[in-house]
Amino acid sequence: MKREITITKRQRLINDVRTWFSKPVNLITVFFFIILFVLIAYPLYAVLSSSVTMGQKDSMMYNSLFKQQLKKGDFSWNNFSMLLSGKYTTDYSRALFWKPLFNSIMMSAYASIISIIVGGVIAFLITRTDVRFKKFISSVFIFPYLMPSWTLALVWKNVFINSSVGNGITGWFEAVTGICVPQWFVYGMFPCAIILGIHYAPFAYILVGGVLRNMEANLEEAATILKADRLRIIRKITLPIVLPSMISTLLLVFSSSMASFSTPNFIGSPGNFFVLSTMLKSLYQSNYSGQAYVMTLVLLLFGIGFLVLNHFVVGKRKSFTTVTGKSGQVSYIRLGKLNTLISVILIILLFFFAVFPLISFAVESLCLIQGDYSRLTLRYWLSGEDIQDLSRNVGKGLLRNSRVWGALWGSLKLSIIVALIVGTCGFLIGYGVARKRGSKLADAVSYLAFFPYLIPTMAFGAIWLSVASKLPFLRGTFILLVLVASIKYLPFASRSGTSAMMQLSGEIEESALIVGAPWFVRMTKILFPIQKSSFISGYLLPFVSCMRELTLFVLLADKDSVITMLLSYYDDADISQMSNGVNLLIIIVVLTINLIVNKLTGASIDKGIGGN
Amino acid sequence: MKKVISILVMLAVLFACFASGTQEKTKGETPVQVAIKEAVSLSWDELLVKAKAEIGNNELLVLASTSRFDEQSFTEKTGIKVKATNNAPSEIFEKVGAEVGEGLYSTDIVASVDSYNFNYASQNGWIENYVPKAFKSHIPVDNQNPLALVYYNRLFMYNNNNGELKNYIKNVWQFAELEMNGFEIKNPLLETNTMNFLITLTKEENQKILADTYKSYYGKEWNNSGEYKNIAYEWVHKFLKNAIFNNSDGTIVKNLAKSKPGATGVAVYSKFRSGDTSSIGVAAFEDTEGFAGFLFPLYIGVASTAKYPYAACLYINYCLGREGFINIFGKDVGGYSSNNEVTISENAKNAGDRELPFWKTCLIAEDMDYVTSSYAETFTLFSQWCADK
Repeated sequence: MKREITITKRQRLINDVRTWFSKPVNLITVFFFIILFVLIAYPLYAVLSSSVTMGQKDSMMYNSLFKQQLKKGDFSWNNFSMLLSGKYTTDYSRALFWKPLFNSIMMSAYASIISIIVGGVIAFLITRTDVRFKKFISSVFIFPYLMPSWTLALVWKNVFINSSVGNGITGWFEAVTGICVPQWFVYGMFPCAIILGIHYAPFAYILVGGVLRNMEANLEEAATILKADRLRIIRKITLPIVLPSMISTLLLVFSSSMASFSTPNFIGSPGNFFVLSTMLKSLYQSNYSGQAYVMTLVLLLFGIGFLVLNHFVVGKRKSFTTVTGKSGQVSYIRLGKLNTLISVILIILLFFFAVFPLISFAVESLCLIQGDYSRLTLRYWLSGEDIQDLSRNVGKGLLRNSRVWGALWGSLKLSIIVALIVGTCGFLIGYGVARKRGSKLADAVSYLAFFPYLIPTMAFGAIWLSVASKLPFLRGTFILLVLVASIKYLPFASRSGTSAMMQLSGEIEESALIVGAPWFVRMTKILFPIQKSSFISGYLLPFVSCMRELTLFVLLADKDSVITMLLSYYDDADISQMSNGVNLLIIIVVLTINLIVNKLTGASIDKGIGGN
Repeated sequence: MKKVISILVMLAVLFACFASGTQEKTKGETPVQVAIKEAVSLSWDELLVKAKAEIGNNELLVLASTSRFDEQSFTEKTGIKVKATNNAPSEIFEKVGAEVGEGLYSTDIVASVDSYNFNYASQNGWIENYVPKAFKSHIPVDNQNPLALVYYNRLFMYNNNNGELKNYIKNVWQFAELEMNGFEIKNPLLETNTMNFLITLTKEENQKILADTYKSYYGKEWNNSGEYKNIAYEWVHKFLKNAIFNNSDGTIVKNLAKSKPGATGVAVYSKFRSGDTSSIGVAAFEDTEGFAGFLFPLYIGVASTAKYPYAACLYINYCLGREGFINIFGKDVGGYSSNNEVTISENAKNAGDRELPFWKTCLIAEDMDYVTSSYAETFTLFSQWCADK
């Protein structure tokens, strides 16, 4: 006798939910949505709230200026009206907001274009042509990103400053050629855009190059058989395939450039070129910190705008799959007679932007007296006795200084832990977002993961200082630094992970699923190894960023806890030999880690895209 | 019965007197305030005993806007360990507000420039003032609350082509002329004491200096055409228009040494300790009409949530004395104790430095009260001028 089974609506719902959560991709996406929402919602709320809530100092200033009766905690639009609509004077709004905003947009746009052109072209040359010195070029090209951007600005200024600019110091270019470049070439938007473009070109190099490296040649070969010329192939096949990576790069570089402070402060301000970040820092330090939060909101809105643009462009495409599990051979373009010329030009450019700064740091650290290059010494590196730098006891030489080693170890520990957390989360987020592409949940996770990048670092540090003051178990601890840095650098890894997973066809995982491979095996034995180079960069990029980060930690850590705080201390104390030495040390450590990762895993930032 | 009640009342009164302890404590005083009150009258040795008993083997935390506190002489003298952190003034007050302001312990001592914000922090009760009785008569009353520990000077200087060029800056109104375009100074928006100097210039007595020097330079009285509120505003506006903002005093001094003759800058004198300054002339040592730079104090106080207030007071005591001043601030040029019994070191004298009274005659001294009272209007306008060049 047939038995009728009645399933109630409630049971059906439970079954549906259970089935939905039984898929790891759904579990991962929901998990990260909740975590990210909690960790990012408060900083966002703090920024919004601080822009419309009067602080005590803000209220004192506005009461004095506008004869108001505001108190701490009162709601007011003063910050907005003062900064945006000229409540004080239109000149004030223009000088502190509108003109810097325009400058920021233009500088960031130019920097983005430069980084994509430079990074993309070099990635193409390395992966798709027979250009010479590939190993050297791909290894050295990441150096500009390893160095703080202000160091590149310093080199630019030292080379191009001349007797017709400012106080009339003769730079190296004038000394060698006798030519004085105009002021706009030395200070202002032009050098800022160039420096930031070169500094962030490795982003394009890594993200675009990773795609090009794994892209199958079948597509291009098919087009060649159909008699399409090389330019048409690049326009119709190669470019569209690398489009998601280029957009990701554009997004990252534009946001980074908008928030960049040190380069425009160093090489823009002397040319009266002010941007939003330099104004933001000034206001933040002043008694108009509420206006600084308004600027932070504006920067966030730009970032959101780009996220929407990214979604609009990428969302139109059904698939960017380039790795399908079928075999393929990379076909190189022969450069012929141009090969030597192109190779030499690349070497010269790389030497100027990547190698020369390192030589400069080394030489500065060897000067017995600052600025005097005729007397060099290893004292500041090797001295076993305490060094008296004029009136200051500096401690022992760098390599024998326990304070330096302590701070370096602190930075290494922090960066490695942050890289492991962030890299893994980035991989998982990328998996969830790529597999559930088009769903609202995946979009939400993707946007939330990118948000921390849009919040200016100094505001981010100040917000978490305030959070930590309410949570004593966090205050002044290593865990706080790990937490803050992990949230701040998650965007790198999530972008990298998403980009990489988008290239992978679903067929690969489905094949493994059919033969009964569990989720963990599919991840670790199939997906991760295929896109290893891109995923490894998701670990290495946060590591590098954390090693050279200062602004994020300045309110949260003391000077002996991380190496960049110690560098800042030596800089403030005007002990340039030590500060240049520490700078060089940081870069050497990062390169060494890169080498170790290469030896252990076969992958590295540069190797992943053809430096073999 | 009445007898019993009156005895009980007397006992209660006696008990209340003794229960308050040996110190007079007004209602609502914090432990830090009580400790400071006691420390004021203690001798060095008495304070040392209390400080050591209080701190044991722990570290005294100093949050300062200078790296100079990072040295060992106090520890060698007293056995009390010190951990000094240096941050920019804005970061210091951010931390103090977020932590000390919330009743949390994060530092024992706060030492910073920027009179406006130090005053603000003191008014909010985040920093307690301490002036040892032994030094009270040697420190000008105006510098006692908040306590100015040392003074720094930021001077007009120029490349004198190894001494060939002399008396290049003859009058402060040269800074308003195009010939001075391109002189280097730290950005007032980021360097608070520079902004405070510009604000102090608008004080009436300084307006008079500018008026006199205007007449001497241009040969006529200053005429208020209505474009500026007063003569100081005009000088400040033109001064900022000609300035190039640099990030670092050390770099400004180094650049001057390599610049063309007549290149000008404004930087702290203490940076003369590093590098070759043989081709840099200092306006203060020559005949400059008006003023040759400005003077600003480093204030110091005990954090209201300090864990070791006696040790903090001992440390301040040390810094005010000659030994502490020389070890921490006075080994080279550019630092001057507010204690008028403490002179500059031999090293500084040999390098050409002068005592504080000399600098007070030729420099504009930061006026905390005036800066506080006129901050909103002047700061806002000068910020606009800094950004609109």
